[in-house]
Amino acid sequence: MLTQNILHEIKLLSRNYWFVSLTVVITGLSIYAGHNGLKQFEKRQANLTEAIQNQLEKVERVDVIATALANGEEHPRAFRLSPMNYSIATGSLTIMPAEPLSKLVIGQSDLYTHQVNISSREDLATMSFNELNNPVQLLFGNFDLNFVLSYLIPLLIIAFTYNLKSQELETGRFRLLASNPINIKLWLLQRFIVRFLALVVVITVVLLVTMLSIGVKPDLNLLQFFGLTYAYMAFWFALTFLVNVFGFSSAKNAVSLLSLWILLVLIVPTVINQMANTIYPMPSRVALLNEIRSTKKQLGKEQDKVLDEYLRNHPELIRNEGENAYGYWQGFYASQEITEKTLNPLISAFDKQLNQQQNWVNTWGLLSPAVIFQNGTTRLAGTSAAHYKEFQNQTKTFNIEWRDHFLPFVFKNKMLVKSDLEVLPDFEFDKGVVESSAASGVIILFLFTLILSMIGLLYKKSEQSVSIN
Amino acid sequence: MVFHIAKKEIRETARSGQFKWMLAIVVLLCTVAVFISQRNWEAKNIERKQATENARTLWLAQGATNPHNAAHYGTFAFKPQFPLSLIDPGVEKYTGVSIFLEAHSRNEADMVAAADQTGLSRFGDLTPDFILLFVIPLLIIVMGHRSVTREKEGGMLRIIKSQGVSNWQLVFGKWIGNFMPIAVLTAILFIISALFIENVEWPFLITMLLVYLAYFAIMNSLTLFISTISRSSGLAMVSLLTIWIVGCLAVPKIASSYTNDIYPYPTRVEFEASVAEDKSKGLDGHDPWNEASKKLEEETLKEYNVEKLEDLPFNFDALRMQKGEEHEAAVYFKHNERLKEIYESQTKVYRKLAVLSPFLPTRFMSMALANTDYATHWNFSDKAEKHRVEMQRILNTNFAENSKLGEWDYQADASLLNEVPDFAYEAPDFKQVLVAGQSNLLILSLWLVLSFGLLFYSSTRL
Repeated sequence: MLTQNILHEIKLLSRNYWFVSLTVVITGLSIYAGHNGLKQFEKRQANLTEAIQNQLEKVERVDVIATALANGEEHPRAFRLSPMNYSIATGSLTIMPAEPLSKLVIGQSDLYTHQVNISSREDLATMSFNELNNPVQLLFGNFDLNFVLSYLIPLLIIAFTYNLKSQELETGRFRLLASNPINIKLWLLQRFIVRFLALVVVITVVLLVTMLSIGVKPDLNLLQFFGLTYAYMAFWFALTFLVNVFGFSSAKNAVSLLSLWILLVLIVPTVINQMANTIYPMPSRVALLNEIRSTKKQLGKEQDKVLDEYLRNHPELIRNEGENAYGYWQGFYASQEITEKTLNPLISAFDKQLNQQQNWVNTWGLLSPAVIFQNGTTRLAGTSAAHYKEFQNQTKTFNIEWRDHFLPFVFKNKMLVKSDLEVLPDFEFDKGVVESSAASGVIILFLFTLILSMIGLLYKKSEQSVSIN
Repeated sequence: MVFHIAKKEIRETARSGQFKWMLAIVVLLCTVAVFISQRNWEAKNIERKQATENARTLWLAQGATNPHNAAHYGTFAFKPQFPLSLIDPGVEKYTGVSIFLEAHSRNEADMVAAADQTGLSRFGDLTPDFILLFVIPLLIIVMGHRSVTREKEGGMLRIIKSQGVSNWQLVFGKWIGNFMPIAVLTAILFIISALFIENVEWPFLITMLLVYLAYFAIMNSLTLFISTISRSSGLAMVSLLTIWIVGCLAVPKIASSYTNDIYPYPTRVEFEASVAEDKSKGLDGHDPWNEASKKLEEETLKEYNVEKLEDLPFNFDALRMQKGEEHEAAVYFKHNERLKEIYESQTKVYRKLAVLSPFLPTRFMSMALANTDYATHWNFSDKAEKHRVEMQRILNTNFAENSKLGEWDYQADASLLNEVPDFAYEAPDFKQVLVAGQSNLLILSLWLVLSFGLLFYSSTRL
């Protein structure tokens, strides 16, 4: 029965005008989406290269001065080697390189910046990581491969499977089948598996063609990407299988499945997001701004006290030159650190809420396969919210490291020399901290598939009553 | 006759279990959406009002101070929370609501809400506009796709025709029958929202309602058109959903990807670097050794016919500061104008692409009427900059007129702070919004005419 069934299905599919033409449409859309991703990727790379180049030029300009001074020459721009000038004007750069899979999943990469100029003057509390962009574009989102796979493929699956059983009933062939000594559910399951495998082959080919045309090299992440896609497809097949087993009419099947699609892909994610925002509301950024200002104002008034307290905490910075040895910058850095300490609880309140929102979303997101899929793909592509949060945190940490590196020079009123420029802190984004595996997503989706299929197989409704309906 | 058909259609819809379910879900979603939006709106409104007052209090609390210190201390310009943002928050989530006004630099709007949310926020928010733009068209499709095919499949068409009903009467009656429940539902949603909104600006609200009704009328005509030409209900359903997905999901995304590709924005780092470069080419108010400063010095001495800066009747430091400020303002103006050019080119592309789907003109008009579109944000940003420039002028003038050269410890009277007016943003008025949105309104009207035309054409083939 199995071989016959398979052969029959293949024959049906190859003759199915819709299947063939929609495959062509999906191929076209997929390649178009891939190219959108590629352009985004190229733009990001170009911007990154340019930012690195600019930073190198800045560093080189100071290097030239330092070399001249080291050789005992004089230089009109020697002030460039003052620790304040270097740490602020030359500064440093933190970058977040693009992962190859970001060509497929644009994710949050249009919202956040990938390169941040580091200056010891920067206020950590108000540091902005948003990229300059047209907000309309952010509102509409991008037409990338992720969209094609998570929104459109389920519809394709629904279109090809919603009537696998009901059609037989409606055309009367079901009675013929029922007269044969076969298990109807097994027969139906086989049909589903054959169609699933056929679509897996089609999608694999479509994806491979897309990857080739936009130049994504195979690696472990790509393998996981394929795995996640198959798991997502399997989920939708299991869902249509279940609805088929329940045995409504074709029209009713179609409407129920489409309603489920709308619910799972469109409404559940929105509701979960809305609830996360409502249950764990963000504290007010506006209030934070005012808090920052009053704190600074207060510290400004007590400038001397601030410096005293600061030096008490940093005895290594004290010079033995008596009172009034410290100028503007020493006071500036002292109050900067104390401001940060004072504001820290306020700022961490934001991170805490965001973490709680993320936990909420991670838990309830399991209700929607689209959320599981998107969570997995953005993680694989390094464009998830978690990746950007990590980049931002590392940037902030680096900013402090950068400032701290120059503090001894500032407090000792010491100019930088050539050898100092060779041991400056350097930034490299460590993405290893963020979980970037899709394994859990794959497992959960397959688990759902299994559960739905089992319910379908165990569901008992007399076939007789169905065929009479 | 048309009304008999409409009445029958409504009765049949009301009896169908599917409709009851859909209606219950939509009503539930609407209630939740309005309720949550109202709560958020209220909270944000209080937050912003308090912040505005706070900013002013802090500004005035500086007391007697050096005018330039005050300029560095700065203050904030807040975008008010507009009443109709309760229905359509538009791009607010991505634009930020406050701008820091300080000496020497024009700042971008800060506090982008989307940056404070999880990645899920990109799926959208459950707000009334989400229901109006996405869910109600689906309701129209589910209710109406069988409207005509049902009669064909049941063989009723001949019987109906034998009653002396013309094709157009039949189709139009069904159109009304399908549209009325939606119109009533929409009106109720708007009335409930209006109850929650304080200071409703009626022309905006009513126009918004009309825009959405036009959008639903278009979707309704398309639904009945497809139902009329389709052989079976299933086919009609699949075709209509394809139209919905393409029109409401795919076209906006394609439009945004395409627009961003042909007119890309510079990155923030790039933008800031080019501003910094241009700034360094001119006068720096804090740097007396700079070339442009020297030139200004010479010119001023010549103009007043004196030898030394000390002999000038005002504080030259402050004049230099003001000239520097003017130079910087010009640099910011130039670069922001460039950015604006990109934005305007993008807007033009979006306007043209709006012919691809009735979703786009509706989306744009709805945001514009709620004062939550990108144009309003630009308008806000420009006005805040104008306010900043004026603020600097007032402070520097006081500094120049009341102190001597090098007198950096000069303190102006606290009343000076009061001379700097409070920033209050007025959004574009109704007429301006309509003028700016005329192409969208035109395209929406064209869609209306076209969809009715299609429906009329299909009715002749019934």
